[in-house]
Amino acid sequence: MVWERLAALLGLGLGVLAWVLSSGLPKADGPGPELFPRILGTVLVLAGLYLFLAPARGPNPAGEGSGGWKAGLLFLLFLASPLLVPRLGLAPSAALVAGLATLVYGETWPRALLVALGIWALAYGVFVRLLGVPA
Amino acid sequence: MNAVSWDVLLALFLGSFYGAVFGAMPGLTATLALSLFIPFALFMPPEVGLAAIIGLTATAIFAGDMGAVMARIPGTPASAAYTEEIHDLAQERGATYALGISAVFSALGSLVGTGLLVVGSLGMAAVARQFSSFEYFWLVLLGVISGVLGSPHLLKGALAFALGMLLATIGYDPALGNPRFTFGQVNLLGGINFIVALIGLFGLSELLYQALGKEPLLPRPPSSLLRGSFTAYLWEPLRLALRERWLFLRSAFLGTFIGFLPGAGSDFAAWISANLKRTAGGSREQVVLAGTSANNAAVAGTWIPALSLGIPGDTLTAIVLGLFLTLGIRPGPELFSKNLGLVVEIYLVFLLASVLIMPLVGYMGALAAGLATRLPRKVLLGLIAGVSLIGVYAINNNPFDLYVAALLALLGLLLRLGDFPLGQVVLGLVLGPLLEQHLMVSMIKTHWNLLSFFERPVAILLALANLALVGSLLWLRLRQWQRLRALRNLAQPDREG
Repeated sequence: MVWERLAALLGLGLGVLAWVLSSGLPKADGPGPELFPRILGTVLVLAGLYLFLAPARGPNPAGEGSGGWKAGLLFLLFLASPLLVPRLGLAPSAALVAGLATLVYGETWPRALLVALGIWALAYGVFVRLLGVPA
Repeated sequence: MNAVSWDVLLALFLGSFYGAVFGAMPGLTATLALSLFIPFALFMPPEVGLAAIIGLTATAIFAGDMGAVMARIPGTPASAAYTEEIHDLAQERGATYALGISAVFSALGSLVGTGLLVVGSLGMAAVARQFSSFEYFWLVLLGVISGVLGSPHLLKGALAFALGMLLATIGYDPALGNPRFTFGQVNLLGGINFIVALIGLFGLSELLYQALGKEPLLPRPPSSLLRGSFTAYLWEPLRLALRERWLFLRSAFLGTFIGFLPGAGSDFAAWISANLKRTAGGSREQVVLAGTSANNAAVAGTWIPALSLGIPGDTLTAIVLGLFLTLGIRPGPELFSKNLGLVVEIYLVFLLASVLIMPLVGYMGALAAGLATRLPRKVLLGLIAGVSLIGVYAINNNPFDLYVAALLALLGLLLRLGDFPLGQVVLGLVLGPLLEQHLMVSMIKTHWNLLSFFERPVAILLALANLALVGSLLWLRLRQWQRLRALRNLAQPDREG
């Protein structure tokens, strides 16, 4: 299972990072703010190492999917949303993201437009007008 | 505050309806429903938001049975424990009867759970007033241990838990109050917002996961199967309840107790209760009864440590505690002295949800889920993307949170693909800061005298409870492993032969 190993490797890396970064934290009399992250770092390193090296067991629950590019596009869309909100405002940005996401999933233009309109109405009507979230 | 005001009742009704629709649709979990609802709840008065959340969590677990009845696909993991039995029962005696058993025993189980919630949380809160940081440390550790050892895969559970806890160390540290792991980013000084993390880990990661083509089958619209008599839906299950009263009571008490254990939750309760009956050679009705009573009783049970100690019983109560803290409400004994009205309202709403809402709204929710399944899946996912973005931004009105949510979505996707439990990350996010805070306060108070953790009588008892929990859970796992090995050995000659 490649994903299991990748996740284990991420855990291992974050565990090492926790140890490295905690060495730069301010010191106290006795163990200080570095203690807890180091305990967690140790757990992450040990569990990550074992899961990375242990032979994979059982079937891959994720199966084989062909939508990697869709997931990649969606992730880019999520990353772009913080840039959109300050420029376009909350309601248009949410509508744009929802509409584009619907298109990425393979839906037709008219339905994507309807989704965008629905989300715009929710964001503007409920959050901006009713709840006072800054547009 | 009027505990049963119209807005509370309306919130309870709508929340239950929303929960029933999400619970009935496979792939859409109660956790996802709750994480999408939290941004709305932040803008509501606490009693109204909580009424909707209680309705949502109570009916989502019950509604999980609908997918199992309709298409042998459990709507929630808590229904997976008896999916085969309830589906076969629907084939044999009609879906109305199977759903009736689910509705009646869910309601009755929830009722018992609510009774025990009142007694248990009041009692625990009274005891917890005497607790110092030492007792709290052991209690939180109990939650961490049961959460890790209760995971399907021990090391994956430990890694997920540690990841959640590590994420929670970002921001000011509780020992010296210095910024930690913020990389000079002002937006990280307050740490990662719990609700932002939740939407990223569950909402956005679900969208990425679905984009990979992991679309679960959807049940057929239930309109045809809901044709049936009132007798089959209510009367016959009630007669069964009378006949099987002892099994029901045992399952409900067991479910509440398991729900009470931090980190366990309704899935665990349903599996243990249904398995106990299954191994004892129970009929299909008895297995369903045992499972569905236990998982709904556990919903109330998870609120006992959450309200009285501020320690979540499962992922859903972890989210509720996150909401409490965001609203400035401190759970634990203080909640009972300062916000007793809110506590009483929670009890009343649980009672209403059990007696009235669950059978009625659950039935309507099944019909609505049938309509919702006709909504194109891609449209539904687009709507979730929009609502998630609004939710993340609305919490702090800070675009930076959208970056955090996007990165956590990637983390959530990776963990999900690797079959790591995402719920443990959320529990780690809640329990991590509590564990560190009580550890550091205790240590600083006693100048790093480790023996001070074993000086107070209740602290000793709790330390022993931790030891007993580790011992019993490891023993259970060993038994499980031995059985699995024995089964493999049995299967080996068959294959060779």
